[in-house]
Amino acid sequence: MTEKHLGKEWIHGLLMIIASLLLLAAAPRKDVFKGAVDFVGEILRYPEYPAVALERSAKRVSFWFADKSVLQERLGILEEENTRLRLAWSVGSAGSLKQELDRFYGYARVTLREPMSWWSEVRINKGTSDGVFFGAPVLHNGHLVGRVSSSEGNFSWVELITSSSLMIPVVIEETRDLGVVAGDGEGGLWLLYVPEGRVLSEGMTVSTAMVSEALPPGIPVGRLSSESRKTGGAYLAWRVVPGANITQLYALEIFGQMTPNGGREGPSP
Amino acid sequence: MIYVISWYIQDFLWVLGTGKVLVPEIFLLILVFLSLRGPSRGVEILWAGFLGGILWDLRWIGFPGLSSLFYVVTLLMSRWAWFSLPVSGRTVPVFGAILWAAFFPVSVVRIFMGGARGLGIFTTYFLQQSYLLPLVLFASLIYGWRLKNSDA
Repeated sequence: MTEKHLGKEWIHGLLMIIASLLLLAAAPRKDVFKGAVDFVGEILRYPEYPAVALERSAKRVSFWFADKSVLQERLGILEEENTRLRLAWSVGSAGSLKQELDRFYGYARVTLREPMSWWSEVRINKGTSDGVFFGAPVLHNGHLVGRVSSSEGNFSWVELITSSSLMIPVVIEETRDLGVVAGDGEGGLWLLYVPEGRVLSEGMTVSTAMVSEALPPGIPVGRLSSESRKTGGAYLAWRVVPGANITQLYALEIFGQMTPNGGREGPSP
Repeated sequence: MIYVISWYIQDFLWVLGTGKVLVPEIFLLILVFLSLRGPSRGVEILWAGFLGGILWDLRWIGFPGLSSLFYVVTLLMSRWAWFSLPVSGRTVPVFGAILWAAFFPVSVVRIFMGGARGLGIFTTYFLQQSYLLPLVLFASLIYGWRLKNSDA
């Protein structure tokens, strides 16, 4: 850089510095520059328009995302509330069903049926305080499903007819032949001790027999099926199709249950 | 033309930031870069800085003369420092250092004019440096590349 260039440059530089300082000195007087500021703003409005539009768009997008976030949050809250309401409704519905079942006097709800003893016993929600007594026959859809094997204050256990340890004396209505019904512990029900040579056929009705005072006679148990097998001695065993739906037990009727005033429903055992 | 474009880019970014964030001094960067590269263009660049500074003040600051004063002084000082060096000493790191130092006065003014006080000054300063340093580095790389090519 030559001395001439340098000198010229410094002179111009100093002039600009002086001009800048003069402008700064006049800067507090707004009225002096107001027109110039407005003019520059007006002129630059056009070239700055793309930046303004871009900034507005960015702001709109930002607001859109913020709104979406708020909406999603609100949706989440509503979904959660809906789930809670559904749950509350389900609980209320189940409660009303329970009350409905409890309202039927003489009916008991099945409260426990263990998988290991599925075909042997169930627990019901009525006990001695409700007039349920040991040995009382238990019905389902008007058919015998078992007997009360034990009874406590507020619950009882019912031994099912499909249990291998429960034997019910029965009579075949059509022929008046006597026999004993017992389960095989696997859901099957068999009519035992029927002498060979008896003419029995499929569809014959099996009901409780008046053999002891333990069970009232005439309670239907089921119908004979065509399947039979030979057992020891001169006896045949016939498969019985239970009248009750033993696979689905929700509410059971206790036959001969004591009424609140001390009497008993149904015939005396 | 390059002065107008660099000024417009800075103005565009300022509009985009709606004045809330400190935009890089692209206009000054270009001025200093050109002034250090062209020994004979000093007067032209000084006038460009002076007029661009006044225009910036009228558009954004409201104190005409403030930016122009800092631009002119910065340019004079940068050129004086750079051309005082022997040609062998005008290396890329020195170029970068002078370029970076040239931003300091105007950066401080911008920080105070932006309303930063107390610890906010440091926060704003470091934020400003976060985009200023890459720009300085980039400009230095360009200078180095052109230096290499011109030597060849």
